[in-house]
Order: sequence, then structure tokens, then C-alpha cells
Amino acid sequence: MAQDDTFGTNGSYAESSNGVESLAAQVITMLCERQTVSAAGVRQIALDYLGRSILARDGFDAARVLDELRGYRLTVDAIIDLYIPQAALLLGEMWKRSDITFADVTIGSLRLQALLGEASHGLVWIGQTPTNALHALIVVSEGEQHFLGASVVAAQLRRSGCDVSLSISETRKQILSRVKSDHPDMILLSCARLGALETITKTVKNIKAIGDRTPVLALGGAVRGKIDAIKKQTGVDMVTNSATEVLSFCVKRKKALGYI
Amino acid sequence: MTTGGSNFWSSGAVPLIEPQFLSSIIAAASDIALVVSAEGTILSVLINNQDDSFGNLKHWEGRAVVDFLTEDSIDKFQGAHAAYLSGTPPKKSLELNHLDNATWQYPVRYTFHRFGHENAVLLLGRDLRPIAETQQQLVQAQIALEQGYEARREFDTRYRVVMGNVDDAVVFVSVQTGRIEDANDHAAVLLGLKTDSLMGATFASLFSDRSGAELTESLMNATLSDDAGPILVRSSRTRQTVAIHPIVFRAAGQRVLMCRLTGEDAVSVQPDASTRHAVALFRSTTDAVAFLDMRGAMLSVNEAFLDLVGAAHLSDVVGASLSDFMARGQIDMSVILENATKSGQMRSYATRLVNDLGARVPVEVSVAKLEDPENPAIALIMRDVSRLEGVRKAENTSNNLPDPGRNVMDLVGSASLKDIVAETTDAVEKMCIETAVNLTRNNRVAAAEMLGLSRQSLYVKLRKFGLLSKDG
Repeated sequence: MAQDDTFGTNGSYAESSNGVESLAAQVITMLCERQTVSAAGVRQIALDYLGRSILARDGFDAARVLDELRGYRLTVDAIIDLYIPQAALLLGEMWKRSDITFADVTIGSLRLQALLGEASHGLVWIGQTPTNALHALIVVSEGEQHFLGASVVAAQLRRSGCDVSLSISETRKQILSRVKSDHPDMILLSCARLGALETITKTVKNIKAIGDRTPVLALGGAVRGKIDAIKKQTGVDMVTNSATEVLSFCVKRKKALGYI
Repeated sequence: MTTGGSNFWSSGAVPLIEPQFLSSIIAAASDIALVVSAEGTILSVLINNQDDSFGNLKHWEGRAVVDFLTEDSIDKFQGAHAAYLSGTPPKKSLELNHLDNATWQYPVRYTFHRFGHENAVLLLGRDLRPIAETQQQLVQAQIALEQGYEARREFDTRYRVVMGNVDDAVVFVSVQTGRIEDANDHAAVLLGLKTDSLMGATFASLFSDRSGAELTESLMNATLSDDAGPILVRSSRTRQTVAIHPIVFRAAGQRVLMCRLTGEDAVSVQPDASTRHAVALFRSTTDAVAFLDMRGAMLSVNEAFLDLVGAAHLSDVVGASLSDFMARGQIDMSVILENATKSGQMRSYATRLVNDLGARVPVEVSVAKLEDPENPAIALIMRDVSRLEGVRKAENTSNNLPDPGRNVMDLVGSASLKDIVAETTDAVEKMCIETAVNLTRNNRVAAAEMLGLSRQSLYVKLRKFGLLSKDG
């Protein structure tokens, strides 16, 4: 490119040195890189916009923010799967750096929740009919402050054609009553703190005691610790933050047992 | 700690405070105060006498602060404490969540203050429980909203089950816009389109014998009369006569027509061998294939296209504009549509598709206009050339091109910054114009649009860079 001017040598530009063209090439490379995605798979420019929107002091219009994000050529799937969780992580990081208060974190999370609702509106029964859909119950334990992660997983499962119920801050009795009446194919338990594992262990034990085709039990959320140890302690079938993994495990098990 | 330039505090006018009074002053000035040793042990807990809601925290003394912090606050405290010990106390106040007896949690906003000797720190805390209570109320309100959404979803599901299982073909049309708001599979079969493609389409556009206003008026008149028969129309796709039985109702203030459709049974045509092969190729090829209408809206795509753009379902793509998936959006689409319309075809158009993660996949596109007087369409075949690009890059790297960094080093100092920037701007302009002209097959109108320039400005720049010499 720098050596061959395919358009002839007319004009003063032909006299330019290699250096200028190299600099120009570097400029163009840099401009291209600004469009690329980060390791987490998000475009920083779009995430920055979302971060500013959820922390703005002058109100939040979920529909407008969704439109803006679509303007960055993001699909609704990417907004739900990547940008909303990444923005939530950003809030946590900013709180840890004391850049924002926990009240800002709560307002920001609720705004992300509103955006999620706007983005997932209409994401029902795509690809499957309600009559043969798998049923998932997502449980956010009592005392948990946030349920954005659980809502994201719910949206992802709905997009995969599942029927999803969300149980937030319900007592163990209420959860067990749901399991008895609804017969979910999978139960996803959200857990943010190690301290909550004890309650979850009891819930899992009670669910298993119901018998009658025990659903797939999966645990996910912000809880940190060794996966095997958590799995052993709680008695769940899997510890994961991937809705797809739970769904695929559930389908495989149902096939193996000859239910589908 | 002086105010307004006064030296009152440092002048010696303030008496030395007895330790027992100092602790009461600190306790009264904050909601909770901790004196923490350099090792992180709580030396003293002071609580405001006016407020007994914290209870007795004497058991904290002699134990580590982190024993009484939630998981998310431990790292935060340790970071700030380490910074304090290294001589840079945190400038911002620190919000920490305390934890005691497993269930008891509350947030406190602390400020760090140097205290006594041996690097102890005084943490003056503000009780944030009133804010936390408001926060809890907000979260509860959101939970109530979520439960409302759950109920709405249940109604939505019931509606979907009815729409999917009744034998009637049903279409909902907005009276105001004349567009289809929803339709079931039976309606799609009757009208010769996919269900997803029906959404948002103008109802009248599906029939060859009615204009939009005319059809809406006929349907509205039919709803007003008790003995009016169905409205008969001719489907432009299946060419069969369709009877529409309309009912009008209001939903959220908007008038909507529920149209029940009945028609003759579609005549099934056995496809010939080449048609079957073409269909099989469309399904199994690794190249992405897409069919567009003449305005660039997707009519159908194959699995390979879904893979390329990372879409999970056809419904994410069909009905959308191709420009939504092209890196240059509308500009790419204008080039494709213009070439297809003018010359009927275009080969090896290089561009990038944007997948659902925002990543760009380089593709080469060939375009053909399908001559069908009834339903003209544009067919696109796209090949992922990212591997090829990698090979090209590797070849370029191995061609021993001069090191750009080296060149820039030679450049700096050879001319003023202003001159270098001016020349670089020229070089960037030339590269972009050259590329736009190449991409648009020397179509100056499309190139100008791609660059966001007027035609006249493009000509001026082409002349400036000597690019007019290519074909005069």
C-alpha cells in the first residue's frame, strides 16, 4: 500500500514519505481497534454508555437506553447476556473502589432490571410451543439483596423456549409448595454469599425428599468457593452460572431417563 | 481542622481533653466509632449514647474487624487499611457492611482518622440503616412489579396457546396503522408467508386487489353492520381468494381488528429435482445465504447465516434489515441494492458482518437479483473469509515490510508536528477514498455516500489525490 500507488503519480501526495503513510496506517489501525470487543466480549464504548446511563442523576428511560444500545448494533441477546451482567459487575467494582455508594448500586441495579424487562419483552415461546416447553423454577433465597442475575438467567431460559417461574424471597415452605404443584424440570438456586449455603442445603434436602422425579438442581450466583465443595455441601447436581449448561444437562437427563 | 482561616484550634486556646471525655465526644460526634490497631484488631467500639439500636458491641473489642464484615466488605476494608498504614489514608469515605450473628447486617459509612501512636486508626462511622431501609422498600416494590410481570406472562402464554391451537387463521391488525400486530401459523400458511414475516407488515400489501385505506375502511364497515358478509380479497402470494371476518375492539386505547381468515385449500405443487437440490443446498451449505426484498428486509436465511451473525432463531433475523448485520450498515446495503438493481449482480464485495457479540466477521458477498415479476428478491451468498484474512496478514508480515514504528521515528523531527499531522490527514483521506471507490466498483455516488461527502467534495478530493486518472 505504501509502495505502490495504483492510481498513478499525479498530485502532490505521491511525494509523501513512507513515514506519513505508516503513521496514517497506525491511525487507521487504532480507529479499527476502537471498534473491537474486550476480553469479556463487550464493546467498551457501548458499556461505558450503559454505565453512564444507569448512574445518571437525571432519570432513566429504559426504552430509550435500549434504542441507544441497539444503535451500537447490539442485538437484544447480547444486551441481555453480556452488557447487563457486565454493567452489574461494573457497579460492584465501583462500589469496591468507593466511587459510588450502595444506594447508587441499588438504583443502578433496578435500572438494569428495568432495561432487562424492556429487552426481554416478547421473548416468549420462540421456537417451542408452550405445551412441550421445559419448566424452570429460579429461586432467589430470602434475604438476598439483588435478583438481577436470576432475572438474566430467566430471560436466557425463556429465549431458549423454557417456561420460567421466578421465586424471590419466598419462604422454604412456599418454595416446596411450588415444587409440589408445578413439577419443574429444573430448579436454579441463586446464591450470593457463602453464609446462604446452609439455607440452600436445607431447601435442596427438602426438595429431594418430595421424591417423584426430582428436578435438576443447579446452584449459581456470585458465591465464591470451590465448586466441588459447594456441590457436596448442598447436594445440588451442578454448580454453574450458565443457563445453557443447566438446560442441556436437564435435556440429557430427561432423554436418558426416557421422559422425552 | 481550621475554619475560615482561623487559628483557634492551633493557638493553644483549646484545653487538652481528658481521655474519658474524648471517648464521649467521639461517640456523640458519630453513630459508631472504632479504634483499630495496625494489625486490624478492634481496640475500642464507641456507640452514640442517643441511639441504642446497635445494642451492645463490647464483644467486638479484641477481635479482628474482618470478623464483623460481610464478604464483599473484607477486601474493601483491607485495601483501605493497608493504604492508611502506608501513609495514604483513603480520601473517600468507605462504605462497609457489618455482619454479626449471621443474620444481623447493616451498612456504615466510615472516614479514617489518625489516632494516637502505633498506627492505630479511628474510624468514624455514619449509620446508613435509614438509607438501607429505603433501599429495601425499593427492592420490595421491584419484587412486586416482577410478580406482576409473572402474571402478565401467564396471560400471554394462554393467549399464545389459543393462537397456536385454534383451527382458524387469525390476524390482529391495528386500525390506525393498518399493520399486522400478531398472526398465527394458520394465517401465515393461508397468506403464503412465514409467521415472523407477517409481523409488522401492512395487511393490505398481502392482497393484490386492495389499497391500505380501502381495505381498512371495508373492514371497519363490515364490523358495524350486523348482516355484512366477509370481505373477499385475493392473496398476492398464494393467489387464492381469502374471506376476512373482522371484529373491532379497543386495547390500551388503540383500535384493533381481529380478522379471522378463511380460504380455498392451497394447491400443493411437487417440486422438480433441481428445485429440491437448490433447497437442499440452501439448507446444508457452509456459505451463508440470504434472500432480501427490494428494500433490503430479510425474507429468509439459511442456518449458515444464523451461525455467521450468531442469531439463535430465524425470528431474530427474518423481517430485519440486512443493514442491521452489516458493519457499515445502510451504506453497505445501498451498495448491494444499487448494484443488484442496476446490473443484476455483483461479485466478491468485501465487507464485515457484525455478530451478536459485536464482533466483526470479514465476508465476501456475491449478489444476484432474482427476476420474478410477482415477488422480486435479491439473493446474497456470503463467505466467511476470516481465515483467508489471517493468511493474508501472515503473508504481509513475512514480506519484510518496513517497521511502521521505525518509520514514525524517522518522521518525527523531519518536519513540524503540524506538517506531519496535515500530511497524515491527507494520507488517511486518500486511503479511505481509495477504499470507498474500490468497494463501490468506482460508483462515485455510492462512494460519496459511504464517506459522508457530497459528490462535489468527492470529486475535489479525487482530483487532489490524483485518483481521477484511473478512468478519467
